[in-house]
Amino acid sequence: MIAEIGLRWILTAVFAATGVFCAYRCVRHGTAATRVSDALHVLMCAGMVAMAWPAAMTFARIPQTVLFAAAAAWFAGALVLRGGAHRDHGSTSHAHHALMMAGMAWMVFMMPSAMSGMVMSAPEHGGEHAGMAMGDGMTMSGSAPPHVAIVAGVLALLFLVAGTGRLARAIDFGRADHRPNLRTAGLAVESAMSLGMAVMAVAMI
Amino acid sequence: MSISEREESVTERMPGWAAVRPLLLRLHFYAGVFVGPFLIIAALTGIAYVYTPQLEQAIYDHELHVPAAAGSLSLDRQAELARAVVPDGTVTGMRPAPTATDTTQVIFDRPGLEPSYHHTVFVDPHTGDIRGSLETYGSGQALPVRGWIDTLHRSLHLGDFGRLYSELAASWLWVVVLAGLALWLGKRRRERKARDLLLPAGGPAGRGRLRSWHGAAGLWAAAGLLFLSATGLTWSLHAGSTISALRSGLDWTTPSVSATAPPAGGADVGVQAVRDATARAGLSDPVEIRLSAKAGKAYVVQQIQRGWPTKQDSMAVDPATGRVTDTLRFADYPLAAKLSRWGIDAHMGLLFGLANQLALIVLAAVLICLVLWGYRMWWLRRPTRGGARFGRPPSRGAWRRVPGRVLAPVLVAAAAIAYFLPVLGASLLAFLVLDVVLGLRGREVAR
Repeated sequence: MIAEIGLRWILTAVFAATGVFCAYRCVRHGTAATRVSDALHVLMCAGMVAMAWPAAMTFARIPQTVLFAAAAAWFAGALVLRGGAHRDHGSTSHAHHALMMAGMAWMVFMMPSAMSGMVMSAPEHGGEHAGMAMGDGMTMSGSAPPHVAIVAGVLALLFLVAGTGRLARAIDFGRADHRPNLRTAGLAVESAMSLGMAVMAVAMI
Repeated sequence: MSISEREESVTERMPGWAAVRPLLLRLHFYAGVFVGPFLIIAALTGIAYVYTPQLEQAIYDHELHVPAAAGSLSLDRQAELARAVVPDGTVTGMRPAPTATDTTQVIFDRPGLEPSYHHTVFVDPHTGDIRGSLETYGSGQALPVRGWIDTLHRSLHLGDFGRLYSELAASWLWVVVLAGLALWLGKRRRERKARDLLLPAGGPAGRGRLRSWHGAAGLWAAAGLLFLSATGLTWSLHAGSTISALRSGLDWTTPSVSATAPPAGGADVGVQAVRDATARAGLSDPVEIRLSAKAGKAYVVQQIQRGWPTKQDSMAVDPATGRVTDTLRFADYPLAAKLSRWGIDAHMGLLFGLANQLALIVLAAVLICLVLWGYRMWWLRRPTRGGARFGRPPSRGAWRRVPGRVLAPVLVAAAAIAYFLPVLGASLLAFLVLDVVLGLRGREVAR
């Protein structure tokens, strides 16, 4: 769950936009397998939006966990079937998707445990210069259990690196292409999803 | 062509520094031009603020000082005399006279006061004479002149809207400084002459000499300017909230004594007994005594010396028994809380007295020079022929030459920084939109 309302809306907008893109690609383009992958991404984006909001963060927790674990297996299977010899963009992409789905399953499952030590509070007003009181804002204090914090930290780092890498590729492809195309947009969307998940993982620490 | 081959062809068009330099130059130029006036205002009002401790002593000499004499009235009696002057006020605290030539400050909350403002009565501790009463500001008890200059520096007396100016200045200062540092160090990297880096060049007047002064002075002042930017942001309206939340999340907040008193067991022992108890426990002057606002709350006596060595120890005292119930030593503060205290006091010129004040004045003067030299360089870039009234800015499209592997982390970092420093983020976004619009317009005109 995201405590800060502005960030909550930003993530909602990011995952809604990426979900709409995946839904479009699912309906209009690709093979049966890629359509399944896109459908799974649409569900993941919906799950992420729900997770950002306090009222929905534990909605259908177990079914979601099972679904995203199965989705992780789907992408892992695609990676294996592609074969170890083809270490290209497709393999990296499948590995990245498998990681995102596994991360999603773990985050949904662990959310109640992660939130158990958190306390929402509004600090005192401040801002005076002579008095040295500082700014204010709604904060979420406390910390997640150590094992949750460690896994969330590792996931955040992986998502950050993967998302930045995808963005770099999107930039390079975007420059090489004369006009925006689906592949470049797909890379940018993957990057946004991954970076959004990094933020969600950080919020669990 | 494979995907990886295509990628190579794009990303290897320009090596790292050669690609990044134009982007940094553009950032340094536009950010500097945009934020320059705000930095000059902040520097000038900051210089004015630095003088305020001496100014207060001179202007409010009558309120602050008394002739030395033997003996003094009890703090309770002094509070009683002050109460008679402010019948509609509630005493919230007292600052006992730390020396025989100082007055006691009795601090009131009063209807109609702005937030963070108090009404303070100054009492001669020897005779009980009321030396005056003033509106004071903040927990630092700034007297009216300091409070006025403080508000000018912070918000130009324009309320929360005015605070955006100082937040803009503080938010962009570190960006301009870091970009400028990278440009200056990167430019001289090949020549490897320390003198060119550290000292301004001589030679004929012109843009080259100005740049040399701008770069060398900027290099010397960089650490100080980064410090002012970081500490200044802690007071800002929006970034300040983020910093508070971050400090809270990382347990970097300033600790405080527990002001919870045991269940009431008798009459209030009074302020003098409280001060005596804390003095016996080792709490030396200067202190502020915060009165217990309601039943079940203890008196809190806090040292208020901001100059080195910092004295910020505090004690809680049970109002019924006069017993010290909790003690918090500054030495036991977490390191982050100590650094925060010292950083704030250094920014205000209080930590190292006159040396601190002089360093801040020099730093602010250098900042003003840097901005003015920057504008002057821009002016000298203007075409000498034709109708152009302004100098040519660094060329557009610098980002196109930066490889994705460099640009992507920069974009991700920029997004994160823009979130944590929202005024910087909003102004950057506004600039990008304007830049795109101007670019499109320029392209249409060219057609």
